[in-house]
Amino acid sequence: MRPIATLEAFRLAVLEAGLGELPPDELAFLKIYYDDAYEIIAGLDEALGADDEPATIFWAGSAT
Amino acid sequence: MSFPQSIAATGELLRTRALSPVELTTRFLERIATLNPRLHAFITVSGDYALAKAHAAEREIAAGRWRGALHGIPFAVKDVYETRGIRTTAHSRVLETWLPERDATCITRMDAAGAVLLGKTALWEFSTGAATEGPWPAARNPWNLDETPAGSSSGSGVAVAAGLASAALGGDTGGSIRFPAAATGCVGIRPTYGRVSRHGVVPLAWSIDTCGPLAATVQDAALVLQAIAGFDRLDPASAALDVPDFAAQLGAGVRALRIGVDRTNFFHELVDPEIVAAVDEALGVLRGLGATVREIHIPWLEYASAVQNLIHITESHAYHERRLKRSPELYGPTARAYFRLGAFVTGAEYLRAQRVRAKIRAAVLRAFEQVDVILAPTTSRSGERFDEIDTTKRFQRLTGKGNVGLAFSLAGVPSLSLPCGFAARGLPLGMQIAGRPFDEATVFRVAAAYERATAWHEMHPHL
Repeated sequence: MRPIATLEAFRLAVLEAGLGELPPDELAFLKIYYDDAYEIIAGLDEALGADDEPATIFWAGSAT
Repeated sequence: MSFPQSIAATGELLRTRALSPVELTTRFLERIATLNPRLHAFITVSGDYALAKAHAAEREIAAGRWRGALHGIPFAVKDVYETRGIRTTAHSRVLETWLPERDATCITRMDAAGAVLLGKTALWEFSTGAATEGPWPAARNPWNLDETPAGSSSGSGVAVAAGLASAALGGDTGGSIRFPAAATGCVGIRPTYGRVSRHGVVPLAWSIDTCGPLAATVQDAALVLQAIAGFDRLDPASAALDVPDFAAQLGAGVRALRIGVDRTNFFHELVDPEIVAAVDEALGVLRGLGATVREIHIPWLEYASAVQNLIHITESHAYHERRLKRSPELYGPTARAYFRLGAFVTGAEYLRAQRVRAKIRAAVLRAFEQVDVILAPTTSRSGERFDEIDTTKRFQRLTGKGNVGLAFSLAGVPSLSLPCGFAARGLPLGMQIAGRPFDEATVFRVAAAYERATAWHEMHPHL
């Protein structure tokens, strides 16, 4: 995800993502969620920093 | 007979034939017919099916073939569990007319235990949309019909709290069993990831989803979990481990058990002070029963919301992508926005979230080297009025520090919510007890000790 400033730029990003042309109200609603999501996940990269531990996926069997 | 009544008490009446499963089921169906038009706990009531099962249970018990504690016990399920020939909707127009050809593994197991399926309960659309955007009315909190029962397993909580079913099955990804349990004043447990099969259950986020029970008491929750737990080759995350007798230690007390309290992560400024006060009081009760309370700090939890939601939107997009692009108009606006979001997440970002998640899990497991259970509020606030719902803020609320249910979801450890008091506005409050992976027995043991020492579980809404 990347920061997207304007609704028009977001409209293009939505098209690029394959979600089609959205009605203006839906586009605006989705952008609220997009901006929130971008903000909350932006910190994860910083959190990991130079961490180079093997990547782990929590999935089948990993609970045991 | 008063409602609700515990499975343990009702089961004994059934076993001794002082009460007939048909009579019991009929009473529940009558109660549903009377109250569901106000509470909207059920989307579908499978009355004929339930009565047929009740008649079968009656015949078997009369013939001396009593199957156990759940034989003849009426229950409900969140409408994401596939039920053969019974509409399964996920509270969405997308699945409005779907008649599955199979039963979810949990349904098969409840059936094998002799339990009687009453019907399918309301939820947030696909376990994450807005409560009010589905094609059926949102479930109402029986303590105050203007309040939501939280979610996403909203109807399951309402059904139990209002005495419309002896127990219910729900699903918990980020708190969806524990939150409605807390909001409606019943017990709900999110089991260890891998303990209960998700086969035949409409998913939200595969790597976090769990299935579990909501019930009126700790013992009842243990009895239902006993019936549905265990390895299932049809769920790739299912753990091939023996299932202990969850009820065996219910009376063992908490003497010498160590309870961890992380004030930074679970008792912070966003948690309603009256919830903090109630949980602190509960800690005092447990201390008085002989437990030791230790302050702990679990690192990495400040990222729990970001991690949970990045995984959540990505995995749910993967599941819904095709339908979402083909028929977006069938989804409610909130679910549609959630599921669309995942289209913007890169593979590297998803993996980043899973990497941080691994650190959260490791940190939680390290905490369990110092303590036997961790105790925390179930929710950061009590209740939400229907007229307060603002769907534009929902993502923020779910992603903020205010969601105290996420740490245990991401760690994949068991966490049980049980009542611990009431808010000034008259709504129940809940606290959660989390345990080590596959140690639901200790979680039940602590919860049962607290329940015995208090009377919250004996308080029911006036309907």
